[in-house]
Amino acid sequence: MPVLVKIAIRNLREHKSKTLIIGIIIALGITVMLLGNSLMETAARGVQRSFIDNYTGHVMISAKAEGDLSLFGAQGPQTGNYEIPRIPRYERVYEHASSLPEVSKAVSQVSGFGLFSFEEKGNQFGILFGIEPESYRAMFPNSITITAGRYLEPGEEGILLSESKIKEIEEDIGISLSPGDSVLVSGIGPMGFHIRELPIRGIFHFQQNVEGLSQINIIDVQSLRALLGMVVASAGQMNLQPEETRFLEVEDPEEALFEDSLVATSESQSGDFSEEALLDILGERQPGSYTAQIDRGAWHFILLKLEDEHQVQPVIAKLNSWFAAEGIEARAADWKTASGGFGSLAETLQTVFNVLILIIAVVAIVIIMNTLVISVIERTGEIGTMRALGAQKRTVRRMFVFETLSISVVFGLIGVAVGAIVIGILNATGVRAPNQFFQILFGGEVLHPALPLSSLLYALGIMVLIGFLASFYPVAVALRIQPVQAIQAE
Amino acid sequence: MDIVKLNEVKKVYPLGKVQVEAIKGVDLCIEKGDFISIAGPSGSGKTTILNMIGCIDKPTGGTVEISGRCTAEMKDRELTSLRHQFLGFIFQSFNLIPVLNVYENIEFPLLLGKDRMDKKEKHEWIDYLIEEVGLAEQRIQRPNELSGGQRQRVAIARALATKPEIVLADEPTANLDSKTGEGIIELMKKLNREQATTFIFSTHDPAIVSIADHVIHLHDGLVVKEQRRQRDAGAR
Repeated sequence: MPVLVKIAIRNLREHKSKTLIIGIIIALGITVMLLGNSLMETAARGVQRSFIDNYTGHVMISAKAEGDLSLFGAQGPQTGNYEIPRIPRYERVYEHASSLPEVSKAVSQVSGFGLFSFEEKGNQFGILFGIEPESYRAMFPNSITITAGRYLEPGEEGILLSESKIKEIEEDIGISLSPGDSVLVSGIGPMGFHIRELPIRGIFHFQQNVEGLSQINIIDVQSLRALLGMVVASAGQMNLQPEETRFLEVEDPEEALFEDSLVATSESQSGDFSEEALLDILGERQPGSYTAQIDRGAWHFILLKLEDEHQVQPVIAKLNSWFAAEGIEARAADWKTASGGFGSLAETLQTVFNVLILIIAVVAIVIIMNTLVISVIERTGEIGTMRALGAQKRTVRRMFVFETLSISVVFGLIGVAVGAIVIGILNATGVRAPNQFFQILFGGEVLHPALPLSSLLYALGIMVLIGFLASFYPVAVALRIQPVQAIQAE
Repeated sequence: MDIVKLNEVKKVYPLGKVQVEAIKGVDLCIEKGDFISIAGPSGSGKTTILNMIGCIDKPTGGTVEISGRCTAEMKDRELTSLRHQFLGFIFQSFNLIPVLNVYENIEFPLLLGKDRMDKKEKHEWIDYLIEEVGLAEQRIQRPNELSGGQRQRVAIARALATKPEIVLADEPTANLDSKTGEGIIELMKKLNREQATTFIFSTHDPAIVSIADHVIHLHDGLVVKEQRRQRDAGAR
């Protein structure tokens, strides 16, 4: 064993209390860091998994908009602006995106907000996902479980209410709804309120029972478009002429909506354009009248699932440059954007946690540094003697760096071991979310923390870094010791 | 041959705002194989002279030459290797490394520097030194298990480990009782004869001064008297 290692280790043993103080600080710090990071990371991964698998896919295409668009509205969930711009030149965008080799599945969606009205008894608010049943189910096969009634049939109008919405309505309004009943839904669009009576086809719950997401209800896209005032011509979809469909693809759809020619299309259907008349027309539509072709109507979002998760950023970049090249005012973004505030919550918390860890690390470094400086000063004579006997400065440096590094590695490993054991126990038992906030954070009710390699390496890296940083100043002090101090020191 | 040469050496220390002249111009020549005592009352500059010969302190004026090499222009790294190669140190308070045992303390200087001794040779050499200073029984004891005299013997063995030209001892007997102190000086003298190593020690004890071949009397930073005796004449 090299003599410096021998001296360093024996010194550590000799000054047990000092070694223990430093060691316990390091071990504790590493344990807390590892545990925290594991919880955060597992939660973040869980949230990511559940969002990608159940709601957002890997990539979301939307129209360009100021601020972030999410599936839950123009801003964050529940606080959203009611107007989501539709994807321009939808058909071309859809065809291009879904034909990319990296893309395995694609589905389109319309999002909106609705009020479930029960006359004078009251209203209930809900997020509405307007979908095409077949393609949506293919994209998110395990996302929802039907607990009563059935799933939507292709082309039929109707709504699936979430279990918690049913419960809320029952508790707050006193009406017990079940499949087969109808519910009056008001949608809010740029042209004001639109009201429709929709049959409840089924009751479902999401696989991940996250409280904030229980506001989501699933509705056939045609009905949602009508509710949002997006598709005045929806009832005439099957016999629209190309010159008429072009209005759905114009750059500024709002303006197009007020053009006479579009209203004229409506009039040709009913003769008297009014909200009631429109509802009548739409209500007449029979299940099965849907023609099984790609819905060329207006969509807010196209969600893509990829073959390989690592392709997310390249695909987003590819799409965005294609949009730019084609002059399409659309944008591709990742699942975090799509999920609004939900997805980034865990990540934000992780950042906050790491800042906290950083502060603790700085405090630990200062304490360790201080202890080491004292120990250097105590050993002035010894260091001076070594220097007088012919030890170069680098030898002294090596001795002290080795000393701090061995403390931080040994106790750091103890910290890692303790952290790993605790994580192992928590993994076996599971951590139950104490409230809704944690449910969102955990991406579910129970979290089974794992120990990702990245967290482990991160902890080990921090450990070595603490050792190095903490020894920096004490070593500088040690190097200032002159050989002559061997004589002066008693 | 002069192994150490001091030329008009001066040393000024700052003491607060006052400049203290510790050495006021000393010329000295020390021959190889000498057994030299630097004598004088405390504050006369004995330690300062030794430190400058030992290359752990630099003069503020004049030059110090060790084995023909002038130390004034040398960098810390060169001075350190010079100390390692040419010089051995014995300190008043022993200055052993507390966590190393007798054998390891003596071995320590041999583990520094570039040219290492062959393992077997090193082992035999250290054992020989331990034998010479009479610590065969204490070979694996730590310094805190030894008496003062024993500790100083370890220090002597350590000083000789690298086979230096010069061993410097700053008041090696100051922390020992007079009988032990005398024993230490006798041991140094014996090794001086056997190894042909130059020994320079400082002391203010007249009884010990008389053992030296060459006595340099210092007073207030100046050499006031130099005595040379025939070799062996001083041995008792």
